[in-house]
Amino acid sequence: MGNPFVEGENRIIRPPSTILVIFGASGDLTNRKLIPALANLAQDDYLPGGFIVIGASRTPLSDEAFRDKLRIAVQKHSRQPIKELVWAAFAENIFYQALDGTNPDDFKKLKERLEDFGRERQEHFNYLYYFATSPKFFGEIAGNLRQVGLVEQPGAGIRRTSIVVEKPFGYDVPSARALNDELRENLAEEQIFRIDHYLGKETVQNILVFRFGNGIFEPLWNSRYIDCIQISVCEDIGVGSRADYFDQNGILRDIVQNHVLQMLSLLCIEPPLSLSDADSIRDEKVKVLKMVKRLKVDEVPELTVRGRYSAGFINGEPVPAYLEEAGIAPQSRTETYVALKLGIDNWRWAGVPIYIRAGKRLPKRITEISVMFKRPPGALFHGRQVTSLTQNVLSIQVQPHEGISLSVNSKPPGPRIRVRTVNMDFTYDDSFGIPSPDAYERLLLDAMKGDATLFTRDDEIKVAWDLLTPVLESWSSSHGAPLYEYNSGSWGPDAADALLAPAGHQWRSL
Amino acid sequence: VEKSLITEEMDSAFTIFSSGRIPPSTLAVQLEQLGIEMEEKGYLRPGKINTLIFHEAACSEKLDELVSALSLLQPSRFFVLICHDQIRELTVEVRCQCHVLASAKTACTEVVHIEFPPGEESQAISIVTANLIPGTLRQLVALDCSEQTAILEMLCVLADEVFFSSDQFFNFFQTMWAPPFSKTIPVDLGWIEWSFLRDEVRQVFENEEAAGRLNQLAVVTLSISYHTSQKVPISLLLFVGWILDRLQLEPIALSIRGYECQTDRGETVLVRLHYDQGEVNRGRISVAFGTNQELTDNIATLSFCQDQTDWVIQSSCINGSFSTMKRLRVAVDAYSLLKRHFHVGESFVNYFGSVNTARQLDSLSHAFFYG
Repeated sequence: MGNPFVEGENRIIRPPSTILVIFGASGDLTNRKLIPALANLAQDDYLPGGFIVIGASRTPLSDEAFRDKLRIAVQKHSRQPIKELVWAAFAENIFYQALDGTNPDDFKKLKERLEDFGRERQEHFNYLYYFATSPKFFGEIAGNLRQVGLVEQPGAGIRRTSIVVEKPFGYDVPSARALNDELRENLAEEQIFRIDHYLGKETVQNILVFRFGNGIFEPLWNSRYIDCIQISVCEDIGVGSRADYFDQNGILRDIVQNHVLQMLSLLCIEPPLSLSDADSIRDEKVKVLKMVKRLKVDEVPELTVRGRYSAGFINGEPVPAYLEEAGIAPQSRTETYVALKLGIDNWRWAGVPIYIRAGKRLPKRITEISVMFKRPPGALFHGRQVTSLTQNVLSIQVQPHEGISLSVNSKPPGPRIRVRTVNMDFTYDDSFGIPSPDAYERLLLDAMKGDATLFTRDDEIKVAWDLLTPVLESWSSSHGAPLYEYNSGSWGPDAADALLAPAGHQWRSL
Repeated sequence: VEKSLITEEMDSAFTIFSSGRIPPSTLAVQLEQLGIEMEEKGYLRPGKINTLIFHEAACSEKLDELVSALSLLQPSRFFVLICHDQIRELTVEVRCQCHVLASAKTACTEVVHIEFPPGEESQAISIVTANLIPGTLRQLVALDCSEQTAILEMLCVLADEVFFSSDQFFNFFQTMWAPPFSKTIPVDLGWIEWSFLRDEVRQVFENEEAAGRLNQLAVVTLSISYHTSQKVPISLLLFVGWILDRLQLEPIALSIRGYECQTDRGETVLVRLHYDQGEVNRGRISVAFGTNQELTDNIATLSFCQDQTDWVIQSSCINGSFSTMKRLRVAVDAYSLLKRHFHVGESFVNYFGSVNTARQLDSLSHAFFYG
């Protein structure tokens, strides 16, 4: 029997008492995202009544020194100023544990400390382990946790123990499978929360509400009315401090395999059985990814474009070429831009091109999903200064400003019948008067509650890699698609425009 | 007539906020702050579109007028790019231009001034592309300035619509018809300026008998006497192109008699063009449609004579059986033409066909069109 007190509730707002252990606590992710997100949750009163953070890393550090470091990070990266009293109360529960992820003895010490907290506070804490480390340590850390008894079988013990892991979830199908096997040797699938921070964004979550909570959109959400879909993930930055990682992976692996395919699957799913059951939604997402038409290796040059940025200007500033960036191998063939033309082979989406582009050193940072509707017949308007009616576009802006906008054709004031496109906008700031929380806030909260809806399941990862395998194979072969150069500050290689041209489409102006 | 943008509506313009010079990387934040400030004051931000304006410093004295006038007609996020050979480095400034509307509400638009020395066009344009409002209309305004085709071409790639005058922007006009600009919709103020010629021709052929006799058409004669430094204003040639396009006449050869054009029935119609430079403010244009080369049998004739303030228009059809005369005041300043475009809406449906036919004429005689 399920919990009768939860039945009918949207969700439990406050998670049960939790100790969050962050492995790799001295890293960038902890400073920039995790601790600022937790501080914001504390300020908004979402954290559990009993909540402790333990930072674990190799570097020896006192609790005080760790807190001081985090305080600076929060001041720099928090989306809102954190009140002094809130920080003081939150920081009291932050601790540091020097730990080598390969040393089982260190895990025994960790266990003792966790048990001490339970005894001191007389609480049964759930344990949530955040793996903010390189994936190569995932298996060993998980193994050590299980060996010292810090992992309990789901439903078997008094506490819930789970882990949160960050991408990359592998490099290709075999490596993803190997990584998953390593984790699954020690944990059940329901204990593994694979984080894709795009899924924590309000606008991405809103896709389902928008589609299924409005009578006017779902009837139009199919190939009869939709002309094409475009998903753009544009960054103005280069590789920055991630040169080594990025050069080994490229943008297809870094952005498309995870963020883009997650957004695509949410956008195109069939109605799930329930919005509150994690597997209902994830089952439907997997179905969509399975229905995406697999490219044949010899189709890849025709249906994909890859590029690499050369020197140029971003927002008035000169920026170097990719090959001139620190840490990039001179003979590198890594793509910093990708454009793909995909399609979904099911009744709903057959014939609707899905265009994807992702790139670095593009003019601005913007992520947008554009649903472009078919043009109405224009016969009524011929001879009235209308050469063709503009398409209605539903644009879902994921970042930097989260919101949804619908473009419609309208008659401007005046004696003549003319047509002008205007936008009907919804932004979170304007409509709700409060800024959207950071994606990590929502995801950390969900992980503490054990709600996996916004996390990626292992079969989603496998299908996503499988989908991109022909592209990766083709690009790694000598006869793969050419690697086009594009100027930094441009919207990518001209060949990306040519990808859309045969169908009469254009990239949306962003 | 002086092409000025000064209007009485300018009086209502004022600036509420100026951030001064800022680092380009902070522009997005400044624009956001500006938006917050406008909202706090309860001001409207009606135009969520982008307008790009390029000017050389030498001819930028009317720039504020232009922005102010445009912000009334088409509220936008304005990017004003000024190429200035007296400065050493690129600078960015944000302002806000506001107008009190008839409803007593205040409508504001944001204006980004980017000044840059020659050679830093790419940097300047990268600031524009980074800060355009996404997914909305992008207009490029190329008015009242010497023709800098290179940077206009760079800006044109960003634009959905470009406002210009084909009479002023000779080279740019030609560039407009080649990829990658062919997706940009031109709004030719010259075409709008001369719309009254087309209106009069339309009206004359409202006469059913005149329209019915067009299948006997043998000759069209156009005489243009107009003061200009160029050989012929392009917009007047577009008028010729428009007549041919509407009559479905295809220019096939240039002979001593004129342009020989073919109808869709395979018949030949002669189109004669006469041009000479007229007196200042004394333009004269006449058009005659006849069934024989001697024009002894006129289907219709029209004459347009300019005096100090007006055009005097005489038209007749069927050998003078039906004659009319009228005076018409035609606004030629850029502001009025833009206002006409935004508020009334000039038809561009036949613009493209007219350009194509005019270009066909040009291909038969380079000296005439672009000489």
